[in-house]
Amino acid sequence: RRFIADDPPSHAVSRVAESFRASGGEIRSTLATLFATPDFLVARDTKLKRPLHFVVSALRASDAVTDAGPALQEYLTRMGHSPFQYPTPDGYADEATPWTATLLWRWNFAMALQRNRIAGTRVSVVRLGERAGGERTAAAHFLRRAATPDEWGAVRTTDDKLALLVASPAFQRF
Amino acid sequence: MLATARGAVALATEEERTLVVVFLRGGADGLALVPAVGDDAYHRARPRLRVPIDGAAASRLDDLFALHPRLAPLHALYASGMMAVVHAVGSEDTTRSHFEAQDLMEHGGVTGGGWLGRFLRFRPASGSRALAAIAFGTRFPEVLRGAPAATVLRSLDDFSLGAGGAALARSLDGLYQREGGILTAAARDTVRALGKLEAIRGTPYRASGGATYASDELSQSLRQVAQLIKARVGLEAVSIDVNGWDSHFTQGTIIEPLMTQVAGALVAFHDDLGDAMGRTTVVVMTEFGRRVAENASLGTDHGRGSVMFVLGGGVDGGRVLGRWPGLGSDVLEGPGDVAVTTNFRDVLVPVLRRHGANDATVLGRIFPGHTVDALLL
Repeated sequence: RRFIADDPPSHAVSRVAESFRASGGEIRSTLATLFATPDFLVARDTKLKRPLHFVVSALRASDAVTDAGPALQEYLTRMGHSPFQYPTPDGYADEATPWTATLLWRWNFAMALQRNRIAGTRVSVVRLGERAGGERTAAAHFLRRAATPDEWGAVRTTDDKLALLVASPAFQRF
Repeated sequence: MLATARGAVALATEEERTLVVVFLRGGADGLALVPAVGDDAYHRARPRLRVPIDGAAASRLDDLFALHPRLAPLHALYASGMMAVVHAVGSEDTTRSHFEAQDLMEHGGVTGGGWLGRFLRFRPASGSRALAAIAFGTRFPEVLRGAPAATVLRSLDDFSLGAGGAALARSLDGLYQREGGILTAAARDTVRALGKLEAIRGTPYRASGGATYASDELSQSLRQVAQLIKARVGLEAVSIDVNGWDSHFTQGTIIEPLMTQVAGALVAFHDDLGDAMGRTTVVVMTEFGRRVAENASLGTDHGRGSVMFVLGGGVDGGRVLGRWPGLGSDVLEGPGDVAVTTNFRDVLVPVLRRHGANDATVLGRIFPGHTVDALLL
């Protein structure tokens, strides 16, 4: 579930379960089996990033300088994903559904990042574009593939290109 | 949370209920808010601070109790059955320390997160959306820890994407609608919420029902809550602090202005909401009450049992609930305090049930280790 999809194919599950049983619960060989399944190799953009993943990947992709201070952490609180705050030992949910309500704050965060409105966090959109060698390649850098015509159309027509890319559906997945 | 695209549709049609928790910080004196004017022991213990019987004639609740004259505006809500009063209520914490007593009451036991946060996370069909939980104040309240989404609000502008936000949201909506995945319904919901918030900000607010909100923080917070409730943005839980109830010295000068604020704010909120009050509950609570006997500085010291107010739709009010332990020296607790005969959780349980946590397992996760003996609210 963590590595392939929220709802992984049953043949992959049984292969990994078999490996878990055969090895007497050894994590290393179980994971080796998992990573060797074809389903793992082709799994791409099947999972929704949880808020922490989303925020960190946005900061990395935009080459942001951040103090990871209270202003940044507040976004995680708003999205219900503050580190170490989950009430019970089972931890924050890994699947997508509990997190779909966080879109408003993801968009809000994307806009605040673009406009440098998060205290202690700075990005340079100009430098980002220069280093990527143009808008199309910068977009591909965020999307990890060439932009679709729809995406490119949306990027081209907005001034808030960084915000749009970070808030786009593709950037929410991994 | 939106369970699925199908769940999102169900949510939009489901009745939205909002629970507002007003926490009086500092230990509000239950015997000042709701004096036992019908008990001679009260008058003996509070010779200088007491509310005289004739002074409370207009705000009598029953044979024994009255509202403080400063809370008299609430009497109409009580008389109409919209508001219930619980007396001698509190927690099991006997430290009489503000910090520890508030901590226990907000966490609802020795467990992770706060009870309101766990309510939002664990109740069935928890439909938490972006604007599900809001705290007014300067810090994140413990009671909301662990909530699926919660915002400490300074003003409604906090929700805005800022200049150019509307165009960005439109653009994004297009991309999300074409994606057709699990986020499609969520994007619709988000765009709708942003539109409603924009509309709220764009027009000066006019309260309904002839309500007038005063300029104090509580009144202004409740005004914004009323705006959000009327706009149906999916607001489920609100936490508001009212500080300053620690009345060791010259109690009257300290808490009487606060009582005026509380009464005025609640009445304005009630009048403004009108029918929407039917899907709203306000709970007023405090970490502990105060010593029965007044002290030498015209004040009162930290005690135990205090009062809670529950106001809203479905409340079987017009009654003072809870077993009154009396004020005789033989029944006082510790150094001379109103004994706690009702656990605060047993006041909250019927409220949480009405707000969707009507399952014993869920209530067990909200208040672990507590054997429910719910008040018939």
